[in-house]
Amino acid sequence: MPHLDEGSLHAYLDGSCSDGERRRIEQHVSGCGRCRRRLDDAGTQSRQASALLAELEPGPIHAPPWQQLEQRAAARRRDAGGRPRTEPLWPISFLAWAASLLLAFGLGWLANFGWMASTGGFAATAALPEEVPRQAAGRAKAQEKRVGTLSEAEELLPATEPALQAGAHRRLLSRDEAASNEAEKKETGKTAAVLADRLDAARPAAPAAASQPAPTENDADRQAQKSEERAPAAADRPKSQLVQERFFNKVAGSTAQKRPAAAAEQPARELQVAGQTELAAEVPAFRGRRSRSGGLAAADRRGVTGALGFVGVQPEAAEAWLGAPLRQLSELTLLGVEVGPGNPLEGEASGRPVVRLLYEDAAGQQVTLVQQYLGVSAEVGVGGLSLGAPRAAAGERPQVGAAEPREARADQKTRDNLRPPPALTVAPSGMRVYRWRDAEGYLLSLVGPLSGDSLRSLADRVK
Amino acid sequence: MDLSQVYRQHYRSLVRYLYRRTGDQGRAEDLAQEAFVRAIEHCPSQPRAWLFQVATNLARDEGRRQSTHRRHLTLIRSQASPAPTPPDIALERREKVLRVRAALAELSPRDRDGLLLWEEGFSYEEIARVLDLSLGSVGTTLSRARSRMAEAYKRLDATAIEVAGSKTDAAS
Repeated sequence: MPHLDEGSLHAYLDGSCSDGERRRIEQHVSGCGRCRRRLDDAGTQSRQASALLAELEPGPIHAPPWQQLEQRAAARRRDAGGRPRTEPLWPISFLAWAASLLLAFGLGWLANFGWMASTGGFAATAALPEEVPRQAAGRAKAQEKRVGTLSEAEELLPATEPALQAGAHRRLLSRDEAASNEAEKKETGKTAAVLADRLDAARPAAPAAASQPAPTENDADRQAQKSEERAPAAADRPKSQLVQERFFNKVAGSTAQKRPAAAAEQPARELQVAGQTELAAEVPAFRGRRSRSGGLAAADRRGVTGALGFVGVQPEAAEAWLGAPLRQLSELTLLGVEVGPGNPLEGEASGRPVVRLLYEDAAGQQVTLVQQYLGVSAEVGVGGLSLGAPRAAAGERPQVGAAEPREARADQKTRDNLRPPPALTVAPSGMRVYRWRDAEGYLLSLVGPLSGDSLRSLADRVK
Repeated sequence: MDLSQVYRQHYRSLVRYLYRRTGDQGRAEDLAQEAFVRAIEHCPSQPRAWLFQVATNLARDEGRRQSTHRRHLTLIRSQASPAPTPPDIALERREKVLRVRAALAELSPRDRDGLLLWEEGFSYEEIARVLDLSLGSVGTTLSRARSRMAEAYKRLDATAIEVAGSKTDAAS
């Protein structure tokens, strides 16, 4: 049986192989003791290299102002004696400029040709003012159909000027009429409805505005309910995912309900954040002690938003979100607790909530303990993809002990061997991240401006 | 992405990479700033990978001009201790840093750069792009770097213990 090469083993450990390759490696390792030992050795070497390099830390780094570097670059251009690089060189710039013009004209012609073919030409645009009553009449219905976050509509509607938006709106309506597929009709109807709403917000003097039915208090709830009805059957999805969707839908609904004309021009991201703040006000956030640094505690300073998608919650609520007992650091000062979605870029499972515990150590440095409960499964991989086994109820710890039969212990040993080793990395911000998975199915990370040894030492005390 | 934003996000990482590569923090900061100045002139489409690639080349050229001995002396003089520590602990830590640096110096330039880029959060694809490697060879490069570094450090550590033991015997 051919054994695995070292490159494949390290690529597997680093989470940098394809799904097919990962499965092949896991299957081989589960049946080959020699490769299993080599995988252990590779993990040890990887950890050791990271630990050694963590000793090579520079002292305090003082970055000069960006303007200073720009001045250096400008001075270098002057010293070179030629034209500043910002000016294009003849005749390349002329050709590039001409090519850009041709491309723009070509695209515009094609778009216009396609638009005329589908909508009847410029006459439709000229008739736009008559469309306003139609937009107003459809707005109430559009509000019911609007689902998901406004960012989705923003992505579909890049135009910013009312005239362009009107043309886009006309195209969308034409598409809606021409669409034979029922699902496509709903989709274009949704985007048209959102665009209609933006048009109306951009024209506050529109006479039809008065005929707009006032949003009721039940709109947000009805919208959230309709979102859930369209989603796959609730029984097929975990409860945490349902709660997440309800949370985000309610954010979008409550934000849209109270949005004034001026706020309609805010980017969708700001509205989503505002909605989170509003919703989070209904959920009393946990406020720990004031930070020793003299400023607000991390949770207060960041507000309840933190990173986009994270809100402050009580520790008990965080346990409910996590679906398992919270891992904590009892010797540090807890400043706040946040819950948010898993980020696959961080190696987390996207379908499960992540809990962040914000701490402060004796030196006033802030450390974050990030945790996600993945459960214990026979299929172990990187990136938090090992799912399948039922989770322990809150208040109970998953039991992995001597009472298991021999086959289960062998499976557990295999899982232990196949579990990705702890990794110490440095984020672009300069914060160190120590990430590991424990035997009970928790994916944990410690993030802070501490040395690797300090983070490892803290990790040993996480319970 | 705006270059000033790239600067704010990745300047520290670039300085750390260059410091580990050259052993001189002052020089590392100079090289990092030079890389950013060149980026202002060239406006690369993928600034992060481009910056590290340019910085790697600058450090390589720098290393060819300086002698190894002078570089180590500069390291000892310029290394700043962030906080006062007891003398014996500071000495022990400094010696450990020198052993780590010596172990790193035993790697080939490509293996060393690959390992340092990985520690700075680069993916396999990015490492392949910066070092002009095939994607399939990045795992082998890191494997070789890690195993050689571990072996070199173990050997240097054992030598240091042996030397320390002989000094103790001589003193008694």
